[in-house]
Amino acid sequence: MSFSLKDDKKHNPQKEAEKIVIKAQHKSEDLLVEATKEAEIIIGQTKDFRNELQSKMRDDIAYQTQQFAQSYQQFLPEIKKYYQQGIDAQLQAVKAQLDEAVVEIKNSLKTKVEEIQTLLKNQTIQELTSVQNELQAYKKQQMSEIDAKVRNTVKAASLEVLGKSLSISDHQELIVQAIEKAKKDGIFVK
Amino acid sequence: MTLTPITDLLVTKQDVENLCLQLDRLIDSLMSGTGTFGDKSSDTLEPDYQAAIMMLIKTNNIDESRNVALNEFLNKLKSDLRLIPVLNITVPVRLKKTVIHQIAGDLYHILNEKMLLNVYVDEDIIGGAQISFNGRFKDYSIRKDVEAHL
Repeated sequence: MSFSLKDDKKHNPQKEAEKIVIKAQHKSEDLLVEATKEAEIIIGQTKDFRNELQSKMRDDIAYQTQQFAQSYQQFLPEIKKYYQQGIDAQLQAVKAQLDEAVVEIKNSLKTKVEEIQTLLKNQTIQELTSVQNELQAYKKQQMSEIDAKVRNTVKAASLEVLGKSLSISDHQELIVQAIEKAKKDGIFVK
Repeated sequence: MTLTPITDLLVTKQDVENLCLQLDRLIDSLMSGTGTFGDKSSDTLEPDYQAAIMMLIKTNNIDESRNVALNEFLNKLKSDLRLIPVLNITVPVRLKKTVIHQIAGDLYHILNEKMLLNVYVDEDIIGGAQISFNGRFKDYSIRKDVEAHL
């Protein structure tokens, strides 16, 4: 649309403007209505699409879930078997380690027992030897004491008998004999 | 100096010690108081010793009136008596003097020498004797024989 100065003299510009505005308003209203209609169509289409999409997605999800469930059901025994094998292997390894440890402990205990046996044996031998030595010493001492007692008893008895049986003349004779022996032994040599 | 008259009376070391004590008293009496030597010797010496001393004085021509000569003689006698050898003998029983004299006689015959006896008693030796002379010792006791056989 174009306006000129000639027209401005003939037409009221304000009215023209108002007309234009009104016209534009009508136009825009028309456009808005149309756009609204189209939008409503689009919205309706969109709702349908959405519903369809939702439905499709639900179906897909259900399908996928079913597929996953089936797959899981199929895969579960394998996982179970896998882990069971792992656990068995671990148990086997632990058992082997335990067996090894038990053998090691048994050997260690055997060695310790042998050491203690040897130690006890040596101690027993030492103590036995010590006791034997002490017994030997005790026996020797006792024999020595008995011997001394016997000697003393015999000596005392002998001396008592001899002492009582000697007269003064016997004593005198023995004293003179002692002097004679002393002379023979060189006691009086100057 | 010959000592024979007096040594015949001396058997033990104790006899000599006893005589020397009497001689000391006689020597002391010479220097004090009055009286003859015969009186003084009678007062201080046992009769047997006094008789033997008087005999020795005569034998040795000592003037009884001269105290100095007597003093010298008596001191010389003491010294000579202490030179007589001594035999230490241990016996098992206490012996009578007569028995000791007999043993001393036997000792003289065996050794042909005058020797004094110094007698000890030890009952433990039972019999025989232990003899010690001039630093030498011998045990001839029965105890030793018994011990040797045990």
